[in-house]
Amino acid sequence: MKKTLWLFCLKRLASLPIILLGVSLLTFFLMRIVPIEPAEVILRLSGVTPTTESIRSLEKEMGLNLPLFEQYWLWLKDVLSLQFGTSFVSKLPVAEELLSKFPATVLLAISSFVLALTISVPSGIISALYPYSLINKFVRMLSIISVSLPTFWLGFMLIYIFSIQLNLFPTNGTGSLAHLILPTCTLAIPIIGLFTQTIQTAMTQELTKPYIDYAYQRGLSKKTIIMKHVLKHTLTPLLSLFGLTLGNLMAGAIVVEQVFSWPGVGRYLIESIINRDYPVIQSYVLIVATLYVCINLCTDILQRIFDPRIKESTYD
Amino acid sequence: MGMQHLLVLFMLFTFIHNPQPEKGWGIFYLYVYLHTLKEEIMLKKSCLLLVILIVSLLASCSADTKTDANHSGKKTISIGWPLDIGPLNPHTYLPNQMTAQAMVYESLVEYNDDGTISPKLAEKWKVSDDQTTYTFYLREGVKYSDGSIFNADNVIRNFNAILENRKAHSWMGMVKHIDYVKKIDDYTVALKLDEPYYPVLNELAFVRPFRFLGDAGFPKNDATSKGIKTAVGTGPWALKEYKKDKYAIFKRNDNYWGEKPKVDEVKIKIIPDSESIALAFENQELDLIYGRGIVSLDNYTYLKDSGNYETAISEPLSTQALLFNTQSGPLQQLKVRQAIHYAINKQSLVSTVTHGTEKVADTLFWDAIPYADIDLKALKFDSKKAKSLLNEAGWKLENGQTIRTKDGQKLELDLTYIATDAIQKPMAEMIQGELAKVGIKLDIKGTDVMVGLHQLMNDETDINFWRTNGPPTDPHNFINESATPNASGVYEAKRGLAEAKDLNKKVQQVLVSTDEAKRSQLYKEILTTMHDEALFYPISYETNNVIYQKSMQKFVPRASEYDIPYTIMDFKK
Repeated sequence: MKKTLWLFCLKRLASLPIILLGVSLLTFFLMRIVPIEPAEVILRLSGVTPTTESIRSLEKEMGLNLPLFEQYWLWLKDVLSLQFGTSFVSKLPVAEELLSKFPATVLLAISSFVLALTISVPSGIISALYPYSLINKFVRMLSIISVSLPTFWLGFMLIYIFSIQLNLFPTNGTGSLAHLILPTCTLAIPIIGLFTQTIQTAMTQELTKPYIDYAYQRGLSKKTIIMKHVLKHTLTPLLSLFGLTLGNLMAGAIVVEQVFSWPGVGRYLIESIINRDYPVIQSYVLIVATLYVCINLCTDILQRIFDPRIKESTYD
Repeated sequence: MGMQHLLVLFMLFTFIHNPQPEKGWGIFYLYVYLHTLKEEIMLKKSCLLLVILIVSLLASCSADTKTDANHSGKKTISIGWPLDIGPLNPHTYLPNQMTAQAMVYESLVEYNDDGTISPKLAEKWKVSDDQTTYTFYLREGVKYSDGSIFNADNVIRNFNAILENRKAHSWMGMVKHIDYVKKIDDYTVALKLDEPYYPVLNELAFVRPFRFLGDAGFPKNDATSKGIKTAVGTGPWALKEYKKDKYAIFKRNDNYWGEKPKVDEVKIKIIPDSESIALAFENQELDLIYGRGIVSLDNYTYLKDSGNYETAISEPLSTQALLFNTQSGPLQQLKVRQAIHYAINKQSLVSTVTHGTEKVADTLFWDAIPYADIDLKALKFDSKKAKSLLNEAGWKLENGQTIRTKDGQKLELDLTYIATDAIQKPMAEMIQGELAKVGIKLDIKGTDVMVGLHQLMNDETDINFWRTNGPPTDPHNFINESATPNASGVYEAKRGLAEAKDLNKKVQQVLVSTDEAKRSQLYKEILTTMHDEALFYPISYETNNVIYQKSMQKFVPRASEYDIPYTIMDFKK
């Protein structure tokens, strides 16, 4: 079993370069379809009216005067040297810029992910165990509401209530635990709704399976059945959902980072898109693609460990 | 047990990062909490204690959210700004923020709100009779924030570094004309042009690139276009602390030659979202909000109406307008363009959308802009006149129809606005309603920042929102661009005018003319032609909107996009 798992990992990792090559080609050439040239954008955003001379000189400086394939090749070389090219705007290596912004995003991602799990797992289980109770209705209603709230609205409401009215937290910025709480909640609340609903549905289905009756007849206590058997079978298929959510969070929360002035990658991406900072956007997409592939791999491995019934064969 | 360990680590982590006496309570409760668990007291009790712990933690967290004015004896002004201040390079553009550059670096001369030029680092200047040589007599005794001396050598070094990168600055007309810059003596420099170019002083006053970096800031080979070593300027402020994308703290430059700032520090907090800036201000994390479009006009009005804050509005700095594309379609006809002027109730448009913060604009430039104080007849709202003009132009309203037609063609126009602009969108919608009343169908499209301008240049849209640059580069930069293809869109938009070529010729003459009276006359002719031809529909004059906490003393905002008058700001005693 261990050997097949290793083989599976190797196979998946071997396909990574091909996936990344495809992603890099796609983003590079898709970016070039956008009609307006970065040199002009940068000049106009500087409050400068572009002249043909200034556009040409800037394009030369940014390497945009070269043939497309040469530009791609140069960038690819930069990627392989882990520099990821040079930002058009800041003129610093993209790797340096992104690295300085990832810690903030990772902190926010992990804290909200942990918060979401700690709340949604118990509430999902409880509402599945007591299907016709008030708790069930309450949890279901809350999770539907929390899924449908627009993030920016939720963020501003939390700021309004907890910062301005109750004066408990700062409205924005970083630096202390207090700064972390509101953005974490804003990110976590919709996820809590999603997770609770999914866990509840999965668990309700699991509870109708014949082995549960069998287990009761074997005389196992309810607690053992739920904790040892049902929970494991419920959560294992959900691992890929958890993984994807974590990947999503790691990719940067654009709205939340904007609302709370959180200096993470999401905010950086938006600025770069406005500035048409090609190297940053391309590298971001590439890094996030890698992240997704890795997280997917991890969840697949975990699923295989928890549930040996999932066979290698599905991937052959 | 694992959970408890995590909690302890978490608490220690936050305590180390933000050591405050209040945190002691959090630690204490944590201790009690762990202790009770150990004693195996009832689960419910420990839950209660956990709640107390969290609440106390939150309470201790919230202690440091307020502005730190007068905190620890230092007077600090906190302001919110949507973008990081950038590397503070005086000779380059994005990502440098003009408002931050202007705090640290100074120019030879200064442009005032009334359109005059006054001395700054140059005490006086002389222009040769042929108007090609400008001699500047530098102020003596000026020191950089690091204590080094400002003199002619330094001026030359900066000019050379800037001109090394001439193409990047070619938007500034002067750059093309500079022949050389020469040191006459330690405190005198001469600027030689290849031909007369009158707006030299206005362009030297601009925030970039002609400002002066101290010797310590110059990198290898003086290639400032690639970056600087450190931000050293002669201005009233010096950078003290900088956390990219978070904040920047500027401290008073004690070597400053002019009137010293009244407060010790200015803290610029980077808050990208305009709603968040307003909320931070409301939560007293900021002392002031300053500038055009920093918060939405809705928020501005909301804060103003609360009565809890002081507000101020600067003199106009730029003009919001519509630019008509005369290259093709119905807008080729002067009467259609004029009819649009008459069809819109501008007063109600401006007061509804800007909540009265902006003034109605009847002409493209407001009076304090040089050469723009001329008599032009305003086209006031008159829907009857609009209808009769359209009839005269051949656009008739058939019975039972709501849209006018001419030779079977409907009177349909496109208006492009920037989709994310909080003012353009409601204005576009109101204009659409007004024009529908006279039988013009206006299709409004929200696009990305640059798209509308490109569509106008390529003759793909009829009307686009358009802004003037504002002083000190108006109006000379405006007319220069109006005669340059692919610049501001005006060159393309006016192509359908019979006078287009004549206008271009006059623009060339204005910029090189040496006779002041002739120049005024040419400006008058150009601006009058554009006005009479109804090429623009001026909407409103944009202003810097300022809100500040009542703890601050009153001050007058400037009509400048980059000069925020921090030096005159102070707190009440």
